[in-house]
Amino acid sequence: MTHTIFAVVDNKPGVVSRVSGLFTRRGYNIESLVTGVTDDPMIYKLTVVLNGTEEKKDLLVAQLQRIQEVISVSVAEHTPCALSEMMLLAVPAHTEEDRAQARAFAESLGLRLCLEADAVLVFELCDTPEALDTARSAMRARFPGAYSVRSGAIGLALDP
Amino acid sequence: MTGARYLARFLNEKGVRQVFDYPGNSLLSIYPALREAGIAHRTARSESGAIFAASGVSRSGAGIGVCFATSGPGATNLVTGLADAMLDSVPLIAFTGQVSTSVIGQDAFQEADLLGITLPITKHNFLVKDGAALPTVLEEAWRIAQSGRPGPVLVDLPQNVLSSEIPEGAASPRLPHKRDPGNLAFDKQKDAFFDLLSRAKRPLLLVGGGCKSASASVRNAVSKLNLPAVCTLMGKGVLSDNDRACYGLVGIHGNGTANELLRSCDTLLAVGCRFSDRTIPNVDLLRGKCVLHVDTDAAELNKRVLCALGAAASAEEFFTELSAAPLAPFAPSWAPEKENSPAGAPDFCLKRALNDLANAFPDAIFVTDVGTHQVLAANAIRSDSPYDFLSSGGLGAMGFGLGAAIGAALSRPDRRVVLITGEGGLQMNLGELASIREFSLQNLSIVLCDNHALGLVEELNRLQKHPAICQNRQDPDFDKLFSAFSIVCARAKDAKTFSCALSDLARGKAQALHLILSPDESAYPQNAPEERL
Repeated sequence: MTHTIFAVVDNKPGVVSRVSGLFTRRGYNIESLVTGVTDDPMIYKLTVVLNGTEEKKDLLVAQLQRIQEVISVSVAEHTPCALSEMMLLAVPAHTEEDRAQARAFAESLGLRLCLEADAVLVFELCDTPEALDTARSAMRARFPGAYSVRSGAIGLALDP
Repeated sequence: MTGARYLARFLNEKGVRQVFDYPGNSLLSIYPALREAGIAHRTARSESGAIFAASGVSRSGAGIGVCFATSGPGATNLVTGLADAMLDSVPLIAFTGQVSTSVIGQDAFQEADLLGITLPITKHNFLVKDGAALPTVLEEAWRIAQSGRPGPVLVDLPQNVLSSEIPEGAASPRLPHKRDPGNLAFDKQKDAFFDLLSRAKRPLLLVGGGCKSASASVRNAVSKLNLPAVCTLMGKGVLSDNDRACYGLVGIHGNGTANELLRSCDTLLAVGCRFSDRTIPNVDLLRGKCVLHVDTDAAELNKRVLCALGAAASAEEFFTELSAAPLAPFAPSWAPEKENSPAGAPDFCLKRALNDLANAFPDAIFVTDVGTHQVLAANAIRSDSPYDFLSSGGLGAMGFGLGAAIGAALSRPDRRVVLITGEGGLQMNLGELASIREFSLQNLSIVLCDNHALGLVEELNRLQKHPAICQNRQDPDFDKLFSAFSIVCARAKDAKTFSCALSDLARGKAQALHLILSPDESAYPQNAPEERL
């Protein structure tokens, strides 16, 4: 099962090493870890997407809370929040016809063309992780040569 | 005031009277500062000896041990001692020299990334890049080492930070964002907790190292509730081994009766322990039992053993609540009588020798190294205080003993300290023998358990049916070696010579006792295989 965990941390040197070191040392299967600044430059927010059981998730929360720079930890499934992720997806397209087909199909799925090169079109999509999964599957089914990269999810927990 | 002076003054204000060190270029400015602050520096023969000595200070309850190592190789030699302190939750502070901030990252002479290297083996670590941050870092380091679940903290000090001017009034300790575990969470759970406990027909308390500072409260609750107890290696002495409710060490290296209690209890109340694989080798053993787990570190709950109810509370909080809870004492102990004698052991063997040693030094602080002697000593020595039996538990770091014993002997000059070591462990930090004369450690006695082999490793090797590893090992002449370090040594190879030699050791005629033992003596204290876990 996939869990999304938010950690609010002090912006101190090495804090990301401490968090990522925890995953390595304790053997967690992490899908993504995204770090970003908040409105307060002294505070960072981390979004972690983890594959594992409920117990594994609870344990990770407790282990994150042990890190000195970690101020608070919350779990997406227990917290009202907005979740978003970005994907870049490239479709090899050598002819005008290929290009037109790719563009039409991608746009029907909500992807936006962001780069047009000689032999490839690159689309982007910002949406929930699940929507990205759906769009990627559809694109790869239609264009087997398509390849993509994802940013990892970021979340904004809503204040009560 | 320079960074070095500020640091020395800080340590003095915290009550530190001695530190353990090995000098080097990046640390040179600290020595005059320590002298000015009236702090003695005890120079070890290697940094690993220094950090084990600092650990000996902390483990013997004499405050927070402090050590210094220079940049690069000096600092990397601390790694084993830090990992050891981390696994056993020992509060200590290691200060390391570092190259100047202007050359960090340039692979300078004796540069090593100590922050990165020690990140997973410290409770927390700091690299101080600016002298102005030093006061805050020092306060933080001191707080973190001993708060909640204690642990080692490393402070990496670039050379220029030690020589930089520290602004007056610079200390502004950050208020911790997180409260240390308090009883807020436990308050909500305690009715359910005590309800489950009250239903137990065969309750058993498992005492871990997290109970060390709550010894009096544990004893009070155990006596009030008539609760039988077993302990982990780190929990040894929390309850007196002379207490009839205390059945001693449980686990792979535990005694048969304690293991039988663990097997047959219906409710296990585990406090301040982490269910290590030495204590509970197979978690299926606890299946069907009601496991109640209390630990100050919430990350220990449900880590290895899924419990019926877990509470993040300190042992002191928990046992105070337990004593006040409206619980009736449990029925007269369902547990059997304790057995103490090394029944069936030959006249001269390690097991018997350790029993005699315990009788000869009833009030000593015992320190062990790692191996067969450690396991047998943990069962033979009867501790009356959690600070009287010092051993490397989680890491099982050979070489621990001599350094730790030196630290304990220096910080507890009022007590006799007896080091029980093996020929393997002793040789790992052999140079530290020189400190015994240098520091005039008359209160330190050494018992060398020499089985001419790395006994525990060879035993495990034999169990796996592999050919011997150490058959061609050529050890030095230990008697001459002790003599070279000006240590008078008595030698025993049979029951008769042992009796004389032990008497010499007890009366101070000898400072070391060299036991010539069989390499075949087992590290398993259980009398029969079925008593093992």
